[in-house]
Amino acid sequence: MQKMAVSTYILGISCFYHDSAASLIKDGEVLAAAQEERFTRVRHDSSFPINAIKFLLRQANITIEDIQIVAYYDKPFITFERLLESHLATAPKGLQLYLKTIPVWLSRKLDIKSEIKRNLKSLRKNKRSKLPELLFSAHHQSHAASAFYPSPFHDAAVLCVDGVGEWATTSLWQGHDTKLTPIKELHFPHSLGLLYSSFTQYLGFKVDSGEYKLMGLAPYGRPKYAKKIRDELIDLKDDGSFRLNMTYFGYLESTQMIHSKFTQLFGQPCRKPETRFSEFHCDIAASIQEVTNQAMIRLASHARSVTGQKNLTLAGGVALNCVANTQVFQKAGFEQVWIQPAAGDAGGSIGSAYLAWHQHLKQPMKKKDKDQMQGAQLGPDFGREQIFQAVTASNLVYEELSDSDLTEQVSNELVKQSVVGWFQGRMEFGPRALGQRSLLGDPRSPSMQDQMNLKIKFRESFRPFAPSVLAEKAADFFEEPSISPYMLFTAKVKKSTAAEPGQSLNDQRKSLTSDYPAITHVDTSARLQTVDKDISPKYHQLLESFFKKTGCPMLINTSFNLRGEPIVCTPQDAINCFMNSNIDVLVLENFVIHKSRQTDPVYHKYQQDLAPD
Amino acid sequence: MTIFKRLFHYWKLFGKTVFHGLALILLVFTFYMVLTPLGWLRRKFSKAPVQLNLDPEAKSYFLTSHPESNDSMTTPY
Repeated sequence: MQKMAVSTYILGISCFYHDSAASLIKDGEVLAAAQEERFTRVRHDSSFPINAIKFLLRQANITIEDIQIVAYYDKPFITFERLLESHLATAPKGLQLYLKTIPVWLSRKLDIKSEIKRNLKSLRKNKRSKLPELLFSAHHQSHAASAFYPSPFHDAAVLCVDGVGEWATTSLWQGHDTKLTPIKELHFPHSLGLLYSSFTQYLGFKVDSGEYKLMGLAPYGRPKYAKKIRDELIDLKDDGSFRLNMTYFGYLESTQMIHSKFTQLFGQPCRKPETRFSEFHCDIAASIQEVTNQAMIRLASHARSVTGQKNLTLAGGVALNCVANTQVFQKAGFEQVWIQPAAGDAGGSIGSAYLAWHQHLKQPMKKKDKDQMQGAQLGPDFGREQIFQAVTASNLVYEELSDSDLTEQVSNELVKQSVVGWFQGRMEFGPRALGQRSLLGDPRSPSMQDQMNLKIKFRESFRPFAPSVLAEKAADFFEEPSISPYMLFTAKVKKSTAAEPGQSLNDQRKSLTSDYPAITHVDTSARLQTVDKDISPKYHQLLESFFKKTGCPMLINTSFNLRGEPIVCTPQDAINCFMNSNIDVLVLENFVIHKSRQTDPVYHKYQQDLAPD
Repeated sequence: MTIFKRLFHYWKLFGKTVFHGLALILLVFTFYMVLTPLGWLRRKFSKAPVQLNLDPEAKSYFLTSHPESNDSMTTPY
């Protein structure tokens, strides 16, 4: 074990694929983390996270010279080897993919050391100062570390499931104290993440972006094609291991996820984006969701029998599928399940930083009784002066309230059916808005779902919203809710009746009965966030105030952004979003801005030419 | 001065076109003349790392993982 004299700062980086991000840990504790997209305003930005790193340095009040280690979340040489092996396996097919990927790899990605060093050099104050040591961890190793080290457990089974890293697409680990031991894995091209993405493309959504829409569409259908998927597309074994029948998939040798044989199997062409959904599309979504659930349950059950652990931690893009997560929690036999809130590639930056601390520097694990992600509140926050400047520069009419007046007034607005842009404290790390950068509404309102979907977020109307609920009241309103601070589990809404699949999406929504229709899906499930007083005191206070007035301890919580945009980061981003949508009230810390009180006509014109997401 | 600027612009454009053209020819050449025969030999005579076949009789498709060495983080491979 090495002796540490001064504080050790480790910078974790994930980039060059999608959702680039950077994280900073100090003496083994997460100080800050952020995704690059929030700063560049380019959704799923894959570029080097230079802006995120600048924020981390500002937040910790240090310079790049104070960082001892930079850890990158992937092993680029092994990924390149996998690309070459894929071409060897399919040539002479695959020329188009070869011409697209190989030049980028040869010119930039392969020499990632130079690329990272070049960017780090631009941050140096003293041009002669030495750069930090550069380390690399394997992609799934980074995922596993991001799931285990910040979890509340000292012992756990770890399951990582995603599209692909270097070779691994699924991996099973055992975590004990600082030791993270790999046990089993599955290799490319056999990937549950890429199977799900293939169906995402088939249903006309964007790959690496629209997977959550597919999950949202599934409850509208029946899993009629699940058997066909199991018989033809995937050979799923009892232990959860699987292989895909690659004659149906194109991603090994082309830029398309699926072959024409895939569409022939189901008898219908790919759905064109932005066209209406038929019963067939809903049934396909339901079918692939069922197969995914089944695979995840088997994988997790196998992890339990192999490791003998009672705790499970999850990471990888597939771990953002809250329906599958809930099935795992209910059926795989674990007592506790914890999921990294930034389960996708962004979270790999935290994992690689932790690996540098525990495995490279061999530092011990501190005693922990709760998770180390601090409610995912790891991004930038903004003081009164910065908000005041943004508000006055935009010529907004505002009022500034005390904390108690604020929650009182905002809950009144919510009762009056206003949509509130809620901007508080440090921005969330990961894809979910958790009450720091959220749009809030009344879940009791039958029209609120349409109002927020169509008039504010300008997105598809079939998608219900997620509720934030007071943690201590969750059991009164949901059946067997798990602790879900990161909105990664679902639960059935009590006293609600499911719609009958087979009708149109609108008819299904109309036939659903629930006291909280805006947050209840047609199968009566809700993707809930349980709000803890210790983690989010102000948001908790607002929920309590709304509960006292209405008897309803929950609010609609959707991300504070417009369609196709990243979640807002700065007060100015929030003002821009407020300006370009029908949000009624904007709350920037203790500043309250009502749309109806604005005299400048610019705040009453809405920009609606938004990019599809 | 303007004429030289314009000439330089066209010269650069010409250079870029030649570079991309040559790079494309080289890439296509390596794909068909190196990668394709190597791939064929690989598939014919050895067990390729990219496994494409299903095995309905197998009980499991899992591969055993190998722990990384202590200094594995120091290299990008």
